[in-house]
Amino acid sequence: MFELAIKYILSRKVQSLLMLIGVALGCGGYIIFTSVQLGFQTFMKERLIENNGHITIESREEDITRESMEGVFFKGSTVYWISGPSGRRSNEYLQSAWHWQKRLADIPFVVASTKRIEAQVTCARGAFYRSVTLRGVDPFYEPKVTNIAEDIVVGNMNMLNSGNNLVIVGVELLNFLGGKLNDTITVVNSNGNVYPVKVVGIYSSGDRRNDRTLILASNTTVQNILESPGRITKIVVKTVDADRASTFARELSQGTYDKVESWDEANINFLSMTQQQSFIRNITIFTFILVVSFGIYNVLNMLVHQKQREIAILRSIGYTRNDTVVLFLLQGAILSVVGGIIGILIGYGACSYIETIKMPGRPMRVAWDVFIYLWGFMLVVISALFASFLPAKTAGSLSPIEIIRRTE
Amino acid sequence: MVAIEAGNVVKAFGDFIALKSISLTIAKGEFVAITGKSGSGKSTLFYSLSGLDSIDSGTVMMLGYAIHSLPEDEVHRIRNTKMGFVFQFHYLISELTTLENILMPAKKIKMHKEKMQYALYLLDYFDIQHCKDKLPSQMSGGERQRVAVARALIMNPDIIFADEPTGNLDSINSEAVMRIFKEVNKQNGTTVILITHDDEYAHMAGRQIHLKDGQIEYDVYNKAVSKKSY
Ligand SMILES: Nc1ncnc2c1ncn2[C@@H]1O[C@H](COP(=O)(O)OP(=O)(O)OP(=O)(O)O)[C@@H](O)[C@H]1O
Ligand SMILES: [Mg+2]
Repeated sequence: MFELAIKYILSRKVQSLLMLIGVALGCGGYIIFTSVQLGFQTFMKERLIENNGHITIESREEDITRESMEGVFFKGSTVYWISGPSGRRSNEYLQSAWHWQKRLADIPFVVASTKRIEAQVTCARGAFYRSVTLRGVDPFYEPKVTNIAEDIVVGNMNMLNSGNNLVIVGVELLNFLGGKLNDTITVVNSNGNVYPVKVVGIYSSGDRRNDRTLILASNTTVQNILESPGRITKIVVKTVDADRASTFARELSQGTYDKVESWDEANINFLSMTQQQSFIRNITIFTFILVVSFGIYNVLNMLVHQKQREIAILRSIGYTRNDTVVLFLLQGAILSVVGGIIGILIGYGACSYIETIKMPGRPMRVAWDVFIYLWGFMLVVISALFASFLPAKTAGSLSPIEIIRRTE
Repeated sequence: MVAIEAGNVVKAFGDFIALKSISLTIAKGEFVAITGKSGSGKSTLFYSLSGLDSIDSGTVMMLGYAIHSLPEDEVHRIRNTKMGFVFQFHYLISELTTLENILMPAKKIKMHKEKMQYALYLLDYFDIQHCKDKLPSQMSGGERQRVAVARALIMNPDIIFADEPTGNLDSINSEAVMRIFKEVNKQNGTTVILITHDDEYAHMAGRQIHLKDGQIEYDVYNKAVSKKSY
């Protein structure tokens, strides 16, 4: 039956070619679409994790309510509010940092953690000034948790520890200030006190917001500038699995009042964007494959109709119902397998090409996952088999005698 | 030996009874012509005896098999190895060459290698060697019909059923096809059951069964053709 199926396919060159193209595009489209989107999502995710780790632990900002004021006044006294308390109590600094670090060390899913102190300051050089984020890091632990060290293009993170008041500045910020390596710039804290710092490195992540507003320094330097020795604002945690970070975060937040947040909770917009993209992708692919399947169904249906006499003669020379079913199922299978393979090649080629396209900053990211290819292939093969099933069944249910009688 | 034994076969289409209790016995090696006016039930008898169609009552034993009550797979196996069909229209598979068409029944049981020699012999015998690699669309009606006969013969069947195989052919081609049936019948002892309108061809057969309104009007042996050949 296989040979006959091939011959049937080859005898209808245009139709077969169209079906083949449809299947190939369905499979290739799925692969390209999915690879690019997953690549982009992975890139975004890495970018988010790169800066802020899997989980961050900060002190909680708290709205002040009547309830939160309870116990503040003398015991037994009754307080009447003329107008209720309002405002926010914000504890910039993480009070229990030391306690946290001890606790994290014993938790199996925690790979590493590091302390940070972060604040908004103004930095200036000559007449130029800008409000920036001054981020104190632990140059030893930070690389174990995030990738920001990899974005340092001139100098390295360890240099921050080689003296006091040394900083690494975002490339665009440095340009804006008109400064260069080894220049001294000034940082002004919220008390108005001015600290000169020396630029020992340059930071370039490709993310303009960071590159324009971020200054890295050691924790000690930042504590010194903020005049709060020993304080930190944040603990950043790396876990064994970024995708399970929210579960881990929930576990960590038990028995603490501090704010424990996973990267995806902190970037809820990203998550919903991801879901929306996947949804649109699935709808598009589904529609396309539906159209292709319908085409296959139509062509095979017509073929079964055209080939009635031949089906009758096959039956009269000893071929069974199943043989005729197989004859038509095989055509769908052959077309979809060949189309699927072509689709895989198209997908692979296109993805390889897309990866070389330079987007501003970095080349396009494409996901390379064998499963994307496998899924694309299975998707078209299964839908083609599905589409050929009904025509094939029709072929099997034809009664040879009816056909012969009709034409005799 | 009995090739076909039919007892009180009835076939109806709704209220219309196409075969009215037909009984007959055909011995192995016979050459039987079935004749009768159009609409007399010839094709219906052919389909009923060969098991291509169901019957409403009666029995048909073919080569010892109760062909109407066998499981489908078994029927297909018997059709493949023991029966050959030739229809008025050639019914070749248009995507296959002559040789491939002839070998199609053998292919079903993966015997096409073994049957290749015989297929070539048949091509030669039917004088259609030049069509070996042609598609049906590239051949004349007579050539196609000979291919169809060759296909019916490839498995060396015990019985050949032919329903007006010459209906679409000119006299020269018709005679060629008839001669082939005759020779196959003589040489291989194949039972041939031939439906024909043509009295001349009917007389070439050893026996003529004439139908009228779904009944056997007469059933005669043709002395001139030697009734003793079976
Ligand atoms: N499927 C059917 N439904 C109803 N009536 C049918 C059917 N098939 C055949 N008949 C009727 O049965 C009768 C016998 O038909 P059959 O085909 O056997 O005739 P025939 O002898 O082969 O005729 P011809 O020489 O024209 O081929 C006819 O009257 C025909 O109308
Ligand atoms: Mg007829």
